[in-house]
Formats: sequence, C-alpha cells, structure tokens
Amino acid sequence: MNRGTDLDLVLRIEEEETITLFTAKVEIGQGILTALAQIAAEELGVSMERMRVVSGDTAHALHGSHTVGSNSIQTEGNAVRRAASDARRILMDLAAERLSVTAEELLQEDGNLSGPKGKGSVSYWDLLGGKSFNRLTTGEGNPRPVGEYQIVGKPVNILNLLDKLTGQATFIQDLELPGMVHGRVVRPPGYSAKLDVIETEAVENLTGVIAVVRNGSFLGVVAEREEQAVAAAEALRESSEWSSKHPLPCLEDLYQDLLGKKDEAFLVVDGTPQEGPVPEIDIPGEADQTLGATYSRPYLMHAALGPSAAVAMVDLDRLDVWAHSQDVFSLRGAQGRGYLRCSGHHKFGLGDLSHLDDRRSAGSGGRADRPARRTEPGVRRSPARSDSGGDRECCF
Amino acid sequence: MIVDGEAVPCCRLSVGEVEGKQVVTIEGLGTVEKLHPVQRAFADEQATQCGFCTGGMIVAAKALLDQNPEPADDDIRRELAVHLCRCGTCSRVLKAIRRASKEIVK
Repeated sequence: MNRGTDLDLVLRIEEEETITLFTAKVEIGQGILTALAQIAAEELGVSMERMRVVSGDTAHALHGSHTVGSNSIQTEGNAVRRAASDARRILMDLAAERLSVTAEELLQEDGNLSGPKGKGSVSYWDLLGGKSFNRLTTGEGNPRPVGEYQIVGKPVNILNLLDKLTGQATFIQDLELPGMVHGRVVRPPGYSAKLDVIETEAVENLTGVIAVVRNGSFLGVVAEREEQAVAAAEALRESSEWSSKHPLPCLEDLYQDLLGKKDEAFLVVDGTPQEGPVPEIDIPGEADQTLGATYSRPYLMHAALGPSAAVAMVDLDRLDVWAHSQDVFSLRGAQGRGYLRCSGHHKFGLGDLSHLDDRRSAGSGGRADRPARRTEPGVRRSPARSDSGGDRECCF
Repeated sequence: MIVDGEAVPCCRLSVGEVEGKQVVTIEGLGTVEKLHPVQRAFADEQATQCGFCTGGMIVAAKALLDQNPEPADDDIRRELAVHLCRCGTCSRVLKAIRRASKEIVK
C-alpha cells in the first residue's frame, strides 16, 4: 500500500490528542499491535502514550491483510511506516501553510509543530483533530533514517498488558451484551458425517432453550443462558444419530490409529532423504550383536492458542460479528450478507463498541420487547455468543 | 480463583459451592493503578503473550506464595502445572514468580 491508499483507512488524528492506527492484523500474543504502534509513533514523531490501535475491524482497515506466516512486520510494518511518514509530511505542509513558514523551518515535538521565533506553533490536533485526511498515500514522505530511531527497537510495554494482568475484559468470552443469548454447536463425529436422526422436541422443552437450529447436518442450539445452552447441546448430542464414512479415532487409540495409516518411509544418507524404496538392512554375518529400536513422538496438533468464541448481532440487513479470526475479511466474505462488519480481536481488545451503544439507544439491541421463546430458528436483533469449550476445540 | 486460601479453577465450581467461603479472583488482586506484587512481577518480566492463561497463573501464584513465600522451582512448576500456556511463556512465568517471592519476603 505504498501509493494510492486511502490514508483515512490507516490513521486518524483524534480530537483527544491521540492518534488511532487501524490495521487488519490481529493480536495473538506476538505483540504485533504494539510493534505497529511503535512504527507509526516513530514516523509521526509522537510518544507511544498517544497511540491507540483498532485491530481487525473490516469497517476500518485495508482489505486483504491477514495475520499469518510471521510476516506482519515485513509487510504491514512497512506499509504503516510509509503511510505514517506520508501523514507526517501532510501535517507538516498544513502547519507550514498555517504559520506562513516553510516545512523545513518547523520543529516537531510530540505532535506540536513550532516555527521560527515569533511565528507561533500549531499541533497535529489543531490541524486535523477529528477530521479526515481525505488523501491517498503518495509514498513521498521520507521515512526516518534507522539511525535516528527513538522508539522502534527500544523495549516498551505490550499494549493492554496491564488489562490482561488485572483480569479486565479483554477476550470475546468476556463480552456480555444486554439481552445476549448463548449458542452451542453440536459437532459431528467425523469429517463429512451426515446427521440422520435427531429428536428435537425434548430439547426444545428444556428450560431456557429458545431454538434448536438444524440446517442439513449442521446442528446447534440457542438458549437464554450459557449453562442452559451447554446442557441442551449435550442432550442434542445424545439424541442425534450420525453416519460417517470417516469417523475420527478416539483419543486413547490415536497413536494406534496413526500407525495404521499409509506411511512414508525413506532412507536418509548424510542428512539427505533418498528417493525410492527403503532397502532391507543387510546384517553382516560377523555382527556380534544386533540392536533394534522404535522411536515415536506424540501426535502434534496445529491448534488454536485457546478455546474460541464468537459474538454475532443481527439487525435485519446487518450482521456484526466478533470472532477469534486471523483473517476478518475472509470471514466477512464467507457470511455473504448485505452488510457485515467483522472484528478479529483474537484474544485481545474488544475494540470499538460505540456503534453497539448507538444501536442500543435506538432500541434495536435489547430483547425485552420480544417474546422469550421463538419458534423460528435463530434470533433476530439479539446479540448471541457461541463458545467453543476446551473439550471441543480439538474437533474440526 | 482462591477459595478459602486454595487455588481452584472457577470453571469447575458452581456459585452454590462457594457459599459462605472467602473468594478472591484476579479482579480482586490489584488494579492497573495499584498492582499486586505478583501482577507487578508479571509485568516486569513481560510474562505473558496472548494472556489467556495469565489470570489463572497469577491467582495460582498468589495462593502458592501465601502458603510458601519462598517456593523452589519444582514447587512453582507443580502448583502451576494445570495452567497451560501455549504461547510458551513458562520460563518467564517462573522468573516472575521468583521475582514476586523476593519482593514479598523483603
């Protein structure tokens, strides 16, 4: 995004004398948001205390950026560096015009730009606080030379570190919206398993159950309270019958099951795998002793860092989703709705909830004016949270 | 959380089971402005990444230090064994608890 990018999708100068950085990258413990804030602060010449980061929000980020492959600094870092140096150039030009001086005469300190003696000063916030840049990036701003770095490369506290250490609400599991209902998905027993039989009536009559949702072989339940959803999902699982051509092995037999799979064996000579079948080992006739050994290592899973959760809020033509996603734009694409805003916030901040407050005050978020039990699948206009418990996270 | 001095995972308890007992949760230990020594030590050692296990780690460490202010590394490992950190901060957590221990004993 070196040139031609809408700068307002990357940076915003706030009235509160802070700077907001928008990025599709999400925090998964690697510290990317802190690092990107450092890069932006460096180029803009402001202290880290002034930086805010909005992460993984499809309404406020450049399309196409996902958090994979350990390359966020390389790609997004460079993009932020370019955009922030462009922004600084623009702010310097605006200040020069305002103070009737040249940009070269300006001294910049933590967002405050002062001209030569008698020419006065003006700040980033005076110039653009709460306003848009209305500019595309040009790539003309000169990023600071590495030798002059004040913030990048120096240790700083991870953003939101203290919130995590004091149990503040930082995860999607902590999100409790007024009138929120709870969902649980009943996982099938194996890949491409087909749901053959399901008796839903008894489950529908359990306390708190709002709806049993069945769509082909997708099975789930919505209830008023979380523990009711957990109990209902368990009851549904017990009353469901599935057929599966590829049942998953149970955990106790996992290793035996893996041994039964088609294996790949090759001879390694001096560290290089050889092509072709592994030759039989020729035991020399003069050998006194023959040693044999079998080596194994446990099954390794490419697993999520922890149990996941998602919150969804439907309002007729609009769906807001908060999920532990590393690729919010793909998530939005998969939903295929008219308007969908997805937020990653992978085990991190819940970001900007202000638009929810707006909608609550407009009377569309609560559930008090609707009957407690609905017959149709799904619940319109109510926020819903679905958690994947630790016992389910190793399912597919 | 800590129930009558013992660290227990809250996901295994219903509210009725803690009736009449003294309960301390991560929220009750300290605030951003006034951190508990264990929280301070976790910050100083940056002993967290994604932070999902951190609350449990800190509460378990607090309960351990209440009972044994100078635990050996093996004691720390044993008491915190149920708290899995998939990010791999375990060695930093050990350092943080050693640091908190020094701070508390001082």
